[in-house]
Amino acid sequence: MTRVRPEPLNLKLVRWTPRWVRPQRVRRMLVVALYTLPLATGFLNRDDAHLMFKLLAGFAWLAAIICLIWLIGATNARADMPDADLDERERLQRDQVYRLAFINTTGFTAAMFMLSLFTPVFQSIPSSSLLLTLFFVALPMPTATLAWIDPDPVPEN
Amino acid sequence: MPRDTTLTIYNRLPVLRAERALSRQDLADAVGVNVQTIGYLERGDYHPSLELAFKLSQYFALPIEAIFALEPFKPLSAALYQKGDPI
Repeated sequence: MTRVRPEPLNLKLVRWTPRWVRPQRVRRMLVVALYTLPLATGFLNRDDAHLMFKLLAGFAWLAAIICLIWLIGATNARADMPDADLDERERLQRDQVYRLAFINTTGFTAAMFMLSLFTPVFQSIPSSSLLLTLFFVALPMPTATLAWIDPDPVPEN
Repeated sequence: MPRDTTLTIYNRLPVLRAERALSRQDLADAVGVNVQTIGYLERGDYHPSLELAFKLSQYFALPIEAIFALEPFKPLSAALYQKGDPI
């Protein structure tokens, strides 16, 4: 008797994703939001910020997480699928995306490091926020890269 | 010898599908790939692996060189009615 594998969470996200986020134009907007919202929270969550701004920072993080969930769904979770669940072209694209994601993450991290050294505003951001932002940059970068470069499907005719 | 990254592989997949009234989804299901991969193959944006080329050859019951080529294919009708030209 064959054992039925439970559906992975990332495939459930694909089914829960609204159709309007699937076009490349919308995916790219979500990628921009995914990476600007955590940066904005860094500014809102400064030590000397008003409580209202700190609450807004929490909502900004929630919005960033929703963007990530929608991006995973809009790309059919292909950035995280194992080899067995992808065809040969999708495996090639996934591997290409990881190479690009490594380059993007390195560049982003270097930019943030330089800004934190030489920009007074960045120096006032708590280090915990910066570390969380860096983690949030690296983790979804393959999905974000795939969402950015994957063209819209061409209709049959 | 430097690697040629501008290689173009021509294909007859749209013609073969039309002859057999197949959609991209039908062909994708038959050879075990995503429907978008068939689209990429037809537009020449992706080159098939040897395994996929053999699967397509087996499905259409044609040699691989009747489906894929390094030179543009002649129209089938022209090749059929011009004497002495192989299809």
